[in-house]
Amino acid sequence: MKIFKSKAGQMRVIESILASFILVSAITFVSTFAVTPQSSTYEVGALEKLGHNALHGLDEEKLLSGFVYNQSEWSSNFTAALRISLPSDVYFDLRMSDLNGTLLNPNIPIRYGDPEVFNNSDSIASVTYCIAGYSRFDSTKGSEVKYEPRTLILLLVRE
Amino acid sequence: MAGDLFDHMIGLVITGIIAVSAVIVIPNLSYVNLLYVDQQQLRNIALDTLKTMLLDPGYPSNWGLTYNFDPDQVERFGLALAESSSFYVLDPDKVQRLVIGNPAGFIEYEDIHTELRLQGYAFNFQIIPPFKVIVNDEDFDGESNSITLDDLIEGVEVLVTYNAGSPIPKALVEAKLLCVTKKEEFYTLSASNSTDALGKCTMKPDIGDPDDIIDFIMVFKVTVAGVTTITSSYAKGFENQHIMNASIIGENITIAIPEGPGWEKGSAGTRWVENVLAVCEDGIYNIYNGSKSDEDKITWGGDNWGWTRLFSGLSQMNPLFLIFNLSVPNPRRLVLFLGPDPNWSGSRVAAYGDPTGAGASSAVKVQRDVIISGMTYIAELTLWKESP
Repeated sequence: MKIFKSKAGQMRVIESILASFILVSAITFVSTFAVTPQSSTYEVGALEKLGHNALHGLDEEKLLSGFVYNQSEWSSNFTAALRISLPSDVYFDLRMSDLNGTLLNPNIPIRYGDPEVFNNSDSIASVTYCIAGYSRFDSTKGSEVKYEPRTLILLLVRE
Repeated sequence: MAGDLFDHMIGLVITGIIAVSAVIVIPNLSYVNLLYVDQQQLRNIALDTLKTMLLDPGYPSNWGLTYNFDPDQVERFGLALAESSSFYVLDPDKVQRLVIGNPAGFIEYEDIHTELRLQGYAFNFQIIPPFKVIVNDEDFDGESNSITLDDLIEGVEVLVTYNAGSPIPKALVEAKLLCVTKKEEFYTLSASNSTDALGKCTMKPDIGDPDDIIDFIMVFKVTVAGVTTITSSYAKGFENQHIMNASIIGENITIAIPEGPGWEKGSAGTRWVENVLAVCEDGIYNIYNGSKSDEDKITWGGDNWGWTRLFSGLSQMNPLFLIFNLSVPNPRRLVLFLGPDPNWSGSRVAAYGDPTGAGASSAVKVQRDVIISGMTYIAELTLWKESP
């Protein structure tokens, strides 16, 4: 019974437990600040490159303005072209606006993937791409060049 | 005194347990981070390697065009087209040097591995079409099959999908059927259709009397959202020898009887090159008519082991692949061949490199769309660390 009545060593036990807790907590706390490759900083950068490459690639192939200035292409061919250009595990949502910032496709989604993904994901990349206008050739009117800027905002999320 | 000792002992044990747990947990926490860093490092190396391969023309800048190709003369590796002002435009001559078995010469994986200084890493590289065109998928495995004459009569089913597998509706499919008959005649037929909501359509060219046809090749040009891919399929039943060991380097076309198991049942007898057709993005063109002279003769072994010709202006046509109409013996008849491999199937490079680790969990895959001969392809690099 005597050994349980003595309290002289108990403080040491509490001290060592507290010290260990402080040590582990400190290391855990510090590790949350480490920028690991799966954190949003890296992911967003990679997705931005992908998105810009996709839009630039379509522009280089002279397909982009044909899609942008032709509303009937938006939900079909434009969406298909972006799906072809981007890896299959990347979801996208493209929003188009004019010079005044008015959204041109609120009712015609140019999208691949569940819209909820864009609301819930921590790592959404956004790419802005501008087109100044278009030129087209008509056999009756001849060649037509029009300045009609469009801003494309491409949101990307990894599946 | 005994109480103090007991408390100190308990304190020591608990501290020991916590210290041991910390020793196990903390490195694990760091290890997960290290794994992420390792993975990111692998991704960076893969991206840099792919960029080097696709943006650098290499040295000499026209190394793919060398007629007596020696891989040792390639001082720096890169696939970009030297004359192009745009990025990510690849040189078809260099790309074809990545096809193992190319009769005009090819570069081994080990050579590129060394030149890219990827010691400790392994990779697999392929250049595939931007979407899949699956012809006559009778066994539902997502792969194309050769076509029988019955398929041709009933209609050949074509399925167009994204590379991830989901179907593409409203894809425009244009087919060209090239036939040879018992009378040693050669002709072409056309058909076109669009895919339905399931990405499928049936191609049914009007073939007339099917009994007259002894061999055929069907070329499919599929366009989705302005992006085109061209693939082909051949008649089933000629012992899978419809793919010819062929190459297009610059303006030179070379074909050869492959080594190993024979070409048809026996290697004896003479083959004559009757026609050579170039399949380009905008059509199929007959670029050569044979004359059954010694110049058009191919035999197994000896001086006529292969056939090579210079076609001035061929590089301007940007041919994707070729169709050879050959007169073959035992019994004497016309047979159609496709080449080079794998161009005829719509790909440019099929799984070049080390195939072993491509499915490894730590492997990193990066891809980029590229232009070759005016057509869009996807260049895909899979990189992983070699086990020590």
